[in-house]
Amino acid sequence: MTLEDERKLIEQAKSDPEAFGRLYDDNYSKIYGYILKRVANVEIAQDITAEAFIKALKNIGKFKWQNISFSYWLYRISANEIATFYRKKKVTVSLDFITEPDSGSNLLNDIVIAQKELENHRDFIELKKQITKLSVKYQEVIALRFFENMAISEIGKVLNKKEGTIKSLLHRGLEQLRKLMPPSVD
Amino acid sequence: MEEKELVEKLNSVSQINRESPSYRVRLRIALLTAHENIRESQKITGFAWKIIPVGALALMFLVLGLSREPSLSLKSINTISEAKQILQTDKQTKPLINDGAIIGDTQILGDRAYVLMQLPEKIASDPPIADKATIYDSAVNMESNYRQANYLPVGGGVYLVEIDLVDKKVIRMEEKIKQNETGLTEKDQRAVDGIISQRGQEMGLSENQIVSGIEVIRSQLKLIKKNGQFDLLPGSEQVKDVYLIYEQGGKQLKEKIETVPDK
Repeated sequence: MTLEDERKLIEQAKSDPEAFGRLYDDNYSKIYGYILKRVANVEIAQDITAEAFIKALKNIGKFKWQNISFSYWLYRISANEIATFYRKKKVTVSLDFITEPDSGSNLLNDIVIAQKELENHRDFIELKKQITKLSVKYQEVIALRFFENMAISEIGKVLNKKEGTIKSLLHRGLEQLRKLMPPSVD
Repeated sequence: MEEKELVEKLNSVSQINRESPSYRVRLRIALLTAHENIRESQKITGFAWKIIPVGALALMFLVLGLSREPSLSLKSINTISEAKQILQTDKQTKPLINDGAIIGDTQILGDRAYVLMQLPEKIASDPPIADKATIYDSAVNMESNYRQANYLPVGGGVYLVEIDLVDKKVIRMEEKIKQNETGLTEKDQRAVDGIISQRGQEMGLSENQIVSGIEVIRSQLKLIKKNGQFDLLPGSEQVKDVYLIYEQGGKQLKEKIETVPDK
């Protein structure tokens, strides 16, 4: 989809649920994937993803097109939600549809399977443990740079910061993380 | 740890992603249901801003915040799976399920569920596609047989099903796109013929490696709310996924090919 197509779709999505659905379809995987890698917990990632899209839905009427991809806006909302999560260490889910599913439901099974699969990535779990010790401002630049493969300029757009600031945060964050990581055993 | 090693570890994390498909669907439905309520609530607050004093407005925001927040219960979302169960047992829809119908976009409105069901379209041709593929090896016969080929579609119907969730039964089943009418336009058919020809030349298609059929699935069928109920979104039927089916050593292989929807 070109930026122009996306601009039109966003305008349409302000009044048309199906258009919003298409924006959701285009962005769900990357936003959920980003949040999952930030929190390393399937259920929490689902809750934060829901919160992020609900915020996007509530605020899409105020969204002003700035010639950058809609996904950057969603990443920004998600980064804020994750920061809130780490600050409060809990997620306040405003809508009651994210309640505990009935035991044995597909949703619950999905969560259990997904969480088990995630925990099989031992390197990731170990890495995540150390990243969590960093300040959130370092966590988010490291995640966007390495987990989402974003360029410095893109991270700047997501976090609304200058490129120089991003470079500096990334450098300091990596340095701190390197010191936290246990020495490798060969 | 060395920086290089750390960067390698960090890069490897980009591969991790495990979605829960049912959650993705549930959230989508919840958001789309909420969309209308939120827009409606914003219209009211926007209007109120012009005519109501600030103090009264603050009180109204409080009331709206409490009463007009979209009501999205898991109960209403769970009706999706309930609707699908009804489809599997109802005497009108069960035969379609048995014939391999795909359940598509599903919307809930009050105590009604609206579901799109689609039978994948299987296409044979006369002369048979396999013969055509073999014939394509022979440049001499290709053109004459190419022009005589007729597509013979089977299946391909699209149905809008309305379910009464209280009585747990299908109350309406409307054939939106008739069975046995191909979804392939002449332009699509020419594109498909061209690809079969190309594959024939590339692979030297032989008896154990032939294009045995074509399958067409309308991949973007959507429902839209209209006059208090849901109907097929016009134009959504035009986007199709077209697959060439090969038989190779007793196995069936599918190749997805691109077609461009007509504007």
